Amino acid sequence: MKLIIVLGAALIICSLIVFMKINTLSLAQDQKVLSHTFIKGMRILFYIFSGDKVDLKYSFKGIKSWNVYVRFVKLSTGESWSYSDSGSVSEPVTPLFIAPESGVYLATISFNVTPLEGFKPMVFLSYAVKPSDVNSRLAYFIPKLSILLTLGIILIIIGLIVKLKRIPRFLKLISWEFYGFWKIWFSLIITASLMFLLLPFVCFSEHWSLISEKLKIPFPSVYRDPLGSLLDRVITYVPHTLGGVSTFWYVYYIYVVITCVFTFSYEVERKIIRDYLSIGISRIELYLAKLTTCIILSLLPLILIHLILMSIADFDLVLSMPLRFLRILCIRLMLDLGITIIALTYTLPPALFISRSPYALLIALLAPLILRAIIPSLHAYSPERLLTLYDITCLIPYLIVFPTVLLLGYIFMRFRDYA
Amino acid sequence: MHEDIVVYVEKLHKKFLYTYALKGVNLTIRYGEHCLLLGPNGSGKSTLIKLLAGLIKPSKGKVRVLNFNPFKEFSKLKNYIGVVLDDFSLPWWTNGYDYLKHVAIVKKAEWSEVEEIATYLNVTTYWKRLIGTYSAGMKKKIALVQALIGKPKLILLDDPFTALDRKSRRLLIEILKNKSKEATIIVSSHIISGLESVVKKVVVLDEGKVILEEEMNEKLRKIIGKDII
Repeated sequence: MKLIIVLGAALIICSLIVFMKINTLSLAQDQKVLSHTFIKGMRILFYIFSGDKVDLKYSFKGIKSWNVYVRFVKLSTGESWSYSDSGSVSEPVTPLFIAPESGVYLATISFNVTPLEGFKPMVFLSYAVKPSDVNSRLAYFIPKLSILLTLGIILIIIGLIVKLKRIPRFLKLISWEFYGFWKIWFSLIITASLMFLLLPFVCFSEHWSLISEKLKIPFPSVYRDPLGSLLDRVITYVPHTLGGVSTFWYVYYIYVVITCVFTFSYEVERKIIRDYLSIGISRIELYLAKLTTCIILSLLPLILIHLILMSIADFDLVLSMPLRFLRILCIRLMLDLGITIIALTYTLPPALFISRSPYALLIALLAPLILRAIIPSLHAYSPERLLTLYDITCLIPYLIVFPTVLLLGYIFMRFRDYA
Repeated sequence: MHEDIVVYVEKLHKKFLYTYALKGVNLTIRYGEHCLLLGPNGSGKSTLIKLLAGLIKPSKGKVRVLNFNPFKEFSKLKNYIGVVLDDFSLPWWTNGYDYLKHVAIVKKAEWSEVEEIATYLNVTTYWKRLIGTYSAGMKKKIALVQALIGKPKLILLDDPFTALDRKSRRLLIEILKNKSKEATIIVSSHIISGLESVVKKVVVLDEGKVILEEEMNEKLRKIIGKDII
């Protein structure tokens, strides 16, 4: 089982490294200078992203006339783009290839030259890849990364659960956490409230262009597809109608705070966790069950909203292009997970470490405001950026802090007294 | 450590902030040596039971329960013990029936066993109502049922008779007599009448120390029977 956990952790680490590398990739420029006496059918592989520019530059020396033929083939689809030119100038105008889609391209470059008498013919070839904005790379990577991340998380969870050797028992513990009248109902009420706010805008989508123009909401170009843009507008518009994106975030955040505080702090205060321990539930089982409950309950409204709205807004797309639908859904769920991680990073420490639920509730509610006041640079990593700009880079500190919080939470739960 | 030793405590200390609840307790309890813990309020009886149940960690000293370290090896020990604490708490948002079903799953106990004890203690008459609506005695009986099911090897009961009526006390003593054949019972109580037929050892604590540890004898039996301690 350890192998499964290690494999899951490796997947998560690898995907996070790739994710963090995306930014540096955007700054990189791959430049190569080649010098050949005669080049025929030279092949170069490019791993480029939508909007990246491949700038080919060639010049000649000791050549009377020349012919150039450039062909880019996208290897996954076989689509090709060609360019040919001929002339006699030594430094001609050279082509620029703008990648229509992300993927691996094979460029074939051939020169036919007529040398000048008494000269040694020389062809100088160089190329540079000028990357487009980071969003193109994110759009390409996020579905793949999200699959890797999800797979990693699933593997770790399976590993941990199987390690406990009581899968049905663990599932029973989770179902017990969901037992009761309020948790699921509270989650559904929040979902329904947000849906109620969102639905009119989905149903009357012809007003969207007008609304978005007035509000000048930024939409990253990568999401400009029929389904994505509509939902971008839906999700982005509602916070504006409520008085800013912060309101949307805080409505959701308050919900997560209440869920976490009642799952951990309240049950410690009322000695219910001690009761669970005394009936024979181990600390790790209890911690994992409660944590899983918090994550599921936090994700549930966001996932439900996306699923329902996407189905309502573009039902045809679900039927006609299910893969495209899944791809967009994947991006959305990744964003949901990001928002949940940010909310839980602020909420879990007070819920876990403070055993008086009113104090835990108050501190958890004020935590983002206090932290932003103390550390002004946190504004750059505010969840609002994730909600409006889909700036996933704001997640980076939380991806480090969140696992640390989980680990510290376990250590605290494992070694604290339940007197 | 001998295999027949259920509880082994050596120089056990427990400190809460600046107060020592236990100050160097030494105690050995063997299989079938059902023990009655006595002592005034604040003498450390409840703390000792929580330490034996692995709910709190000792500040100093050694504790072994069924040959496990109760705090560090809680996950192994938990399958063999049944516990009722004096200030127990039950999830108020559920009913007794569902709660005991959950406990039965956790403890891998047969439902028939739960029904048998619950029926004996008259829990079945109200167990489908929300726990939040129960009286203290009703809650206590639910807590007792959860501690007694799952065939535990060690039963730790802290003040089990408080809030119970006379009839329920008598029924509980009958159950304990029955359970004493298969489990070792450690009970801490101020209401001790009737327990003389169950316990085989009396341990008296005062100010966090054991001041008396004695096998049950006629003299003690008479004192306990008259409930005059």
